[in-house]
Amino acid sequence: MIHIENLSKRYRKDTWVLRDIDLNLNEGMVGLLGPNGAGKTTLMRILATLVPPTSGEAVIAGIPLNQPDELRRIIGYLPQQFQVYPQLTGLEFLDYVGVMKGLTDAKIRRAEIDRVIEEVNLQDKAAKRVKTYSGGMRRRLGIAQALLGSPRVLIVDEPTVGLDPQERVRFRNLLTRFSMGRIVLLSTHIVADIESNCRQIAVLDRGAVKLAGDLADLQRCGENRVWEARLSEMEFARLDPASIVTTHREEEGVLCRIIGEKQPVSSAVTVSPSLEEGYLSLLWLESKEGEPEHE
Amino acid sequence: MSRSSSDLQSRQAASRTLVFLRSQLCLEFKLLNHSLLLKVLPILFMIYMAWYLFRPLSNPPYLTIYEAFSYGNMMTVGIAATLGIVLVRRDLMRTGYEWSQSLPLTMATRIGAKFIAGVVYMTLLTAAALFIFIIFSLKHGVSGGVIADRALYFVCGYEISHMISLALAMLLAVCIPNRVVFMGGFIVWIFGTFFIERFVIRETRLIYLKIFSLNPFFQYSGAVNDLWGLTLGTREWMMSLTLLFPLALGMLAISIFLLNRGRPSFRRNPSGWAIVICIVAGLTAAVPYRGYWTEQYDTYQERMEDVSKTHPSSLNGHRDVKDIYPIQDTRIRLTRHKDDSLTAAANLTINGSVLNPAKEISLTLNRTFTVEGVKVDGKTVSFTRQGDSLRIHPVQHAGKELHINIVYKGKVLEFNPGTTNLYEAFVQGSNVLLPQYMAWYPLPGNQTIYESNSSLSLVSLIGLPMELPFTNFQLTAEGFTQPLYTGLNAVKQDGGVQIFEMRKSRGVSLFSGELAEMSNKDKALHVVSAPYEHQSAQAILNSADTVYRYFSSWLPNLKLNHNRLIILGNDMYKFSSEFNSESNYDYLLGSMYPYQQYGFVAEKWLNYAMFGTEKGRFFSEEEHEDVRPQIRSMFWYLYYRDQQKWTDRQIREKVNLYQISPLVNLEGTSRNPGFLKMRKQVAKAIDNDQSTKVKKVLSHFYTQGLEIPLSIEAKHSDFSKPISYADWEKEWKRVMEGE
Repeated sequence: MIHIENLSKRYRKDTWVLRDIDLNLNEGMVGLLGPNGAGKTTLMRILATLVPPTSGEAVIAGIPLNQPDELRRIIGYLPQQFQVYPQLTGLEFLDYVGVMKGLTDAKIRRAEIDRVIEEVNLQDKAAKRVKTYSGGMRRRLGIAQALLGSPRVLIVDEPTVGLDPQERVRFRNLLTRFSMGRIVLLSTHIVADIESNCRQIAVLDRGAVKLAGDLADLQRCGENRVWEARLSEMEFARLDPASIVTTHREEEGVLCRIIGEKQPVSSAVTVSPSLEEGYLSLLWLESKEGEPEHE
Repeated sequence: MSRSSSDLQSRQAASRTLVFLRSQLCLEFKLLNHSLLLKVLPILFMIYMAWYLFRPLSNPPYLTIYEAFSYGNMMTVGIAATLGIVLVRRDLMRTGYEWSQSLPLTMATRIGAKFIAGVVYMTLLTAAALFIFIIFSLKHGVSGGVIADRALYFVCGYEISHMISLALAMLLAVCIPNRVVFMGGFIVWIFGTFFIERFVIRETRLIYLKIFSLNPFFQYSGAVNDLWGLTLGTREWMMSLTLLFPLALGMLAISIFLLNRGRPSFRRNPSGWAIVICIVAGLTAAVPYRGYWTEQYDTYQERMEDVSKTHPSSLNGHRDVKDIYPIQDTRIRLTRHKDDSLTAAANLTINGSVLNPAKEISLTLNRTFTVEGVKVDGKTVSFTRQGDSLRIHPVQHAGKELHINIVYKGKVLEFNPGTTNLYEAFVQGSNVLLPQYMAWYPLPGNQTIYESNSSLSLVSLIGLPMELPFTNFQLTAEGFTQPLYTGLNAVKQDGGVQIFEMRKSRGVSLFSGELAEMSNKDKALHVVSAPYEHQSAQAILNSADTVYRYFSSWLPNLKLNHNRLIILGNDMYKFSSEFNSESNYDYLLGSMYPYQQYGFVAEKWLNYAMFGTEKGRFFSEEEHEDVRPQIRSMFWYLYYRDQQKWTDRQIREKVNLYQISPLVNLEGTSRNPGFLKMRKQVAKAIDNDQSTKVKKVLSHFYTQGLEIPLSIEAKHSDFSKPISYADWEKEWKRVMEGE
């Protein structure tokens, strides 16, 4: 369990990257959604004990954040940018990380390394130098080092960026398997990454929590706010581009799904929102709340 | 929490730290091992050392070694600086390696492992240099003990300079996260190796600033001298090591502190305490270091101010000499105490007729010494001491002999930051350099010992030899741990007491240290040399022995004035290199001579030893009046023709001794047709197998004496009188045409 209370982070005098974050995250896969610059990575880095918060508290698996040396023994972390020493082989690298994670017995360590290598499907490349790995392989090696030692908490920051669809699916499945009996905190701005796996989600925007709940809660954000209409070219051109979710050109016009509080055109009807539409509705709503009212 | 559980936790934590450190070290070594360039560098460095040391030497061996290490260290410091920057930038300063900060691994472990790996790698370069140095030293016949001493010095110097450079470079890389750090490293390297020595230390003469030099092996350090440099500087060197070590650790602690600043930790940043401890340790070590140099500079400053009062600013090497008179007998009893202080009792016998009874008796004694008391003929008399001058108040002596007893004491360690040796005279442990020109015993008259220039903040001993009348000299020395070497004859050198004496001595210098003496078979010739000159000494001795055996085979009364040659190593201090400078003086070799021309050196030595000085040679107004220079040259001509079997042409090509330079121009550029006739006579006799007769002629004149002192000294010398050309012709005819 991760309990976060009033967590804030400031880098410069008035630049708050996170403001009063309150979250309670339970066992299983937890998705952390938000646009770029929302503060997801900062939150991840705080929880991974890379940087201290400016204020607030967090307790991860019963260990408070002010005991980072203890926390580092129970977490695995895969950052967004992941580099490894190219001169080492995968095995050498994992052996090093294994020792650092407390696997001091050589036999136990080797068994654990073999296990995670199998998990990430790197058996064929493990004995080769990292400089021969593709981007996806390096990512898998990254997740392998995070999984080493079976940490109670796994923190992965946008792990599927740059991966092809097949790799992305493999990753999701791997994380789902690992999340049984553990917390996996996965940050992403791709809704599909959390669609099938996450029990809980939190949405961050501009350093604050906009939604904390489950997938249904996110989807509900789009209720009565997602419209579908077949529009002429002229009508389509008059629409606010930010409100258009999908477009599909047909012979009769353009079939659009549009986000908005009001009916955008007379022919528009409300539809049942998808998860992504719920997410976009939430962000759209937040952006509108910040704007001054126009007549 | 119970104490035992707390202890157990501490032990577990310590054990965990060691495991992490070992694993981190393995990682660092693996990464270093993958670099082809790093693998090749020690081999390249070894090649450089071998090339520098084993190419034909143009300088003495130890100077060559020192230069090799010095220039080598400039390079290795650059390597260490680059390595330090790369070690940090590789992963600590890259976002992509952020994952490692989530591991339970402290920055101290990471930085410590990088530093240790860097030091171990740099030790490969040190080892490469050491290997070549040992081979070179063994090749030059240096003893194991000396090699070990020098090796320790060079190894420690290299290791500490690498540590400082690595720590400094790592700190730079932590402070400057972008690539500009390489420029910063370059600037630090240039300043720390080249600039600080050439433009800061040399110009300011603030020797203690060398603690900030990344390269400890520069010319201005005093350690460049083979014989005394290292042993004199040991105390200061040890003090600097105790200061530099916490400096290196302190820089590492600052790096860890800065890296830890942004990284959460349960403990307060422990490296902050490490910085404090290093600062305290450094300051503690700095106290004796500062005290040592303060003492040296204060003494130097005092001397400079004192000298400037009595002598206006001048650095022209000119020595003022007044009221010189001959001292019949000089007997010195010199005692060295355990704290290196000296007490001396000088007994001088002066013929009263050379003194003006109405005037004070002027003597010169170095101002380092305090005069405790003066007695004349057993009665205590008053005296005035001012600077180096000692004036005994007028004493009635009615023209009779005066017996003056002077008791004095002092400690000799003449520091001079204006010289590369740093010390111009000293008695410290087994190291003794008491040059005659410093007036360590009372000299007649009023002479300037020092020259100074207060605007340049310089004061130093005047290295010119003193022109003094002869005296019968006896020295009894006690308390010296090693044999003393002087220009006097050693009468006794055992049981802690050393006695030397010589009739007609004009100046005595004392030397002692890591000197070793070797002799030829019949103990007629001796060469005393500094450790790295043994091979040269042996070669010179062998050449000299060849000459000696030749001449002694047909000169029954061959007498050597100076049968002991002293080679001080690569530095001659302020001693003149010329054999003609003065008689009864120790002759020294150093870099002023063409190196490795052993035959040349041996012949020059034997020329002086067999025939004495020829300072007066160039002052003879008319060559016919005195052909002693030509006769001396004939001995050598005979040697080259008879012993070496050289032709005239070969002599012209191979021989380079000025005293037989007329022989080089065998076609007759001499203005003296008489000399050319002499040479033709001898050449013809040799060609006609009449060498024996030539030897007889030369032997006759040898018996008369062939020393040519300056005319003003001639009255004190009973060695030889001028030989005219007519005398030569008469003897030549007598021998050649039959007796």
